[in-house]
Amino acid sequence: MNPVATLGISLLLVWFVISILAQFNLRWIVAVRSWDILCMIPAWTFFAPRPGTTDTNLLYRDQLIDGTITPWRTVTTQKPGTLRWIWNPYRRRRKCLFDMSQNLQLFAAATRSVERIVLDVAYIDLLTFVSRLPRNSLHVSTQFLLAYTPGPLKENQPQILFISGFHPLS
Amino acid sequence: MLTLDSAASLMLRVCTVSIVISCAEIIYAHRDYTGSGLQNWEIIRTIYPWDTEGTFARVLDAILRYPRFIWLVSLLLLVAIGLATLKLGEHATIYLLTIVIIIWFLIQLRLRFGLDGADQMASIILIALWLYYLSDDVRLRTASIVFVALQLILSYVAAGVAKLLSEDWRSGSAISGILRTQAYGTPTVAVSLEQYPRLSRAICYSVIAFECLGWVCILGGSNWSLGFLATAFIFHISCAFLMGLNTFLWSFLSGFPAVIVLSRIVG
Repeated sequence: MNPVATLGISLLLVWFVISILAQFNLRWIVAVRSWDILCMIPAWTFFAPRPGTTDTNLLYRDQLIDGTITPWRTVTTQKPGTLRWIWNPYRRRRKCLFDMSQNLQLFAAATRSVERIVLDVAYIDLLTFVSRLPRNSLHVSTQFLLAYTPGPLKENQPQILFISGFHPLS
Repeated sequence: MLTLDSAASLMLRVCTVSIVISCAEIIYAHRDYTGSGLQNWEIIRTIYPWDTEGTFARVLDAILRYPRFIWLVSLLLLVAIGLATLKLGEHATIYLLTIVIIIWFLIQLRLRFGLDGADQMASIILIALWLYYLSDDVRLRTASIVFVALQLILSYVAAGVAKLLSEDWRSGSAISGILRTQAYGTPTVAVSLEQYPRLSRAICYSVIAFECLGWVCILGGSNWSLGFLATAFIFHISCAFLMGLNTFLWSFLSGFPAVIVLSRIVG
């Protein structure tokens, strides 16, 4: 057999065996996955065992120069349109927010330290994002909140997942 | 009769539709990838040490920084449209496919958050097709197509078994819960399902049964496999309309010719 074919078939075989093993939550697969930067090891358990029955909402509030705190404001994520079966441009933003909330939870569980959570990439990204939202010079610091709701935020009681501390606005 | 070559060609064309949609959506939502967007490269790149230090980091930074990242996605869009629509020879196909794979994986690196199963299936199919066109060895070509078919079947069976083990799915609450969300839902359908819990449960069990039966594509022969794929098509169309899983439709659909080939080989 030609060497390219041998190599190719071996690669596919190994990849498929790893893909099967990856469906079980084995400890070494979790370790391998942390190096899988191109997401080549699939996890095919869509919406199971715990289906995503909540929306992830990002809210923020600011402290003004006189010390008053503004009400919480929602960072709006566009509602999917009627053509979403073919065109759904903000689906990645919603998934990104969900992935970041998961990342924060995993980081908090792994480090077991409230102080160290400010080092998490998702935390820094969310903080930078809310810090760079347009506002005037009266706002001196900001705080963000992640909340789950079973449907749109306006109609449902949110379940608070995480509240950051106040961070100065540059 | 679906030959290996016609199956590969069809898979490539359908898979590139998923990539074209993904690229167009990224370009449309380009503000998300700026320094004030949610997918801020300055921060996301710090996940891995090699992303911030050394030559590789500098090259990646030069390519993936906004707005160059959007130009890169635009290039992929054009090449993918070419692959999806033009009648190309095998040499041209492998060259264009190589470009698509390189850019596609750069995008995967850039989108550390926000990737989904449709992206994974597209990656799997692109690599398998690249191996297919790399050599004219019939064993490698057959293995590439069979690999895609097995990954597709694994995806259904794993999802089905995971749902079978889930209390939310067995009780019937999962489907109305998912459809109630803004991200993946259709609230009017969710409200209707909550009024008819038996119907909700029946739908959950239908999804579980359909996904768990994915293995019939291997052991059941051509007719069973065509029946399964027809059901899968309806399933993905429904998911696209009800849940907005638009690229799932194309990514998974592109693996269907591989399953037909596998069922004929086994049969």
